[in-house]
Amino acid sequence: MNPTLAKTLIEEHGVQPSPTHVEATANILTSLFKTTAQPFARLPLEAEPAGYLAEQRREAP
Amino acid sequence: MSRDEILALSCTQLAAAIRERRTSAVAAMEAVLERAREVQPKLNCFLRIDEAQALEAARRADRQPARGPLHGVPMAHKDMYYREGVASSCGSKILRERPAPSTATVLERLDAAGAIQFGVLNMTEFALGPTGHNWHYGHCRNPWNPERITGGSSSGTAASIAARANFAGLGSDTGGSIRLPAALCGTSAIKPTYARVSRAGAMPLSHSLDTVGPLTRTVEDAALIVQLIAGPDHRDPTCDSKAVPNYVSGLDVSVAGIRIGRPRQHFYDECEPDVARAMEASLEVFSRLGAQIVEVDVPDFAAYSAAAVLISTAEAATLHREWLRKRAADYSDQVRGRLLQGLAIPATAYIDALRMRGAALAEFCAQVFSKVDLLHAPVLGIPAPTIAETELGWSERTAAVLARITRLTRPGSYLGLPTVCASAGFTADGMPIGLQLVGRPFDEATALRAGHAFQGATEWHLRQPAL
Repeated sequence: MNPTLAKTLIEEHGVQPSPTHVEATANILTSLFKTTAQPFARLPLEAEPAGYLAEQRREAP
Repeated sequence: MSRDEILALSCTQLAAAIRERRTSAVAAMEAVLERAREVQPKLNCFLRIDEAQALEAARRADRQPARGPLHGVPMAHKDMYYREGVASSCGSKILRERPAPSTATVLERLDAAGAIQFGVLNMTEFALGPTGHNWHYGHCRNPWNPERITGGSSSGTAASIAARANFAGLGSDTGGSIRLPAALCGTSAIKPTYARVSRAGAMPLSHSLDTVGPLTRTVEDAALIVQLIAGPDHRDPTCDSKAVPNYVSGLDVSVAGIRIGRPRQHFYDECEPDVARAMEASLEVFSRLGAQIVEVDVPDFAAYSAAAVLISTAEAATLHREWLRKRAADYSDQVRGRLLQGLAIPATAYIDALRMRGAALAEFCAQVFSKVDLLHAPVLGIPAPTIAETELGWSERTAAVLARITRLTRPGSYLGLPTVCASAGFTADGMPIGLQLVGRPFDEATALRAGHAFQGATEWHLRQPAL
């Protein structure tokens, strides 16, 4: 994510970010997207958020 | 009993002493109020002390038959548990004067057990940050060294308990906010399984990750309190309907034969020698108690942590969006910066982070809990940072500093696993070292049993800071 896009996305919510916060947002989100890119790409079509609760119950003693 | 004898008691011991008339609720309340007044100028752990009201409640308790297992025990909680009509600041300027709309289920349950709330405790603004800093009310100070962070966000809860100015209190945990201050201040604690304890009437930060739990002087107290507050609640639809086992009665069952996992990867990266030594020594204690120590491979949790940050930041930003628009200047810079970041997260990334959670839990359980009953690890591998090192505005560098603090706790939040914390020693410069015992979902009982056995064989949890 580049700073221009980060600024636009934040401003879309009617919030005015400082340049420091825009830069931090762009760099931090870029890093988070990079870390999660592969595992997210490997998710099967059927994976859904509620799968977590089902798994939690399945793993309970 | 003298004041110091009372203040040295755990909740369980104090409740027994009141029940058996060896002391009174009033004597306990007077002792803790006096201690709170003594330490407050040094630690800034209380945001409000309700002295007259608490003493009156203690007098009533002494006149009444015992209401429950905490009858007459004074407690103070992180200032984010609502009492109808009373302001809960949530560590913020924004909510400083807003009367709470209802009473938290966990407070109702502690009230019913006979506990008496005597105040509310400092915390990170809106529970968003692992240092414990609060720029509106002043930072809470670590009783072991006021220059070091307390850990957060449940900073006041941990500091007040460590300083013997509170017998136990509620914290909350979204990425480490119970476990980190417990470790850095040398207290015991439990972060229960996600959905084990009702969050109704607790300030929300991230609906998918928020967990309510107690910080205490002993693991036995943690078992008692989580026993009282856990279980289904019609006011919190996410709260699981499973019956709550009797954690307290299971505490004295031997840990012989329990398999305790020592992670081969990740948890000991960047680990300080003092911390590694304390962890090895604690594993030897478990071994002497008859537990089987097993080396286990653990999945790389970097993606779990990143996914947890995407979820918590997006959910928190959604809750705070209106205030970010209208009252941006009323946030501290660090908290505002973290929240703004959530406004730029695409819905696809947020949903993928939630979609991955079930698979991540399955992967972790298959790799770890197919081989062991508990995972044993440090809460923090690094030394407690100083306040000066973490007194930063929001930037990429700040995010990196904070990520090092939460590195070993955030994966557990993403997986929603129950975790018991206990003090396992001290660094050469006198700071507490915390261990965590992580169990499979809804298996608080095994982690509590192991933590209690550890404290029966060691005395780290009895040490007190010199204040």
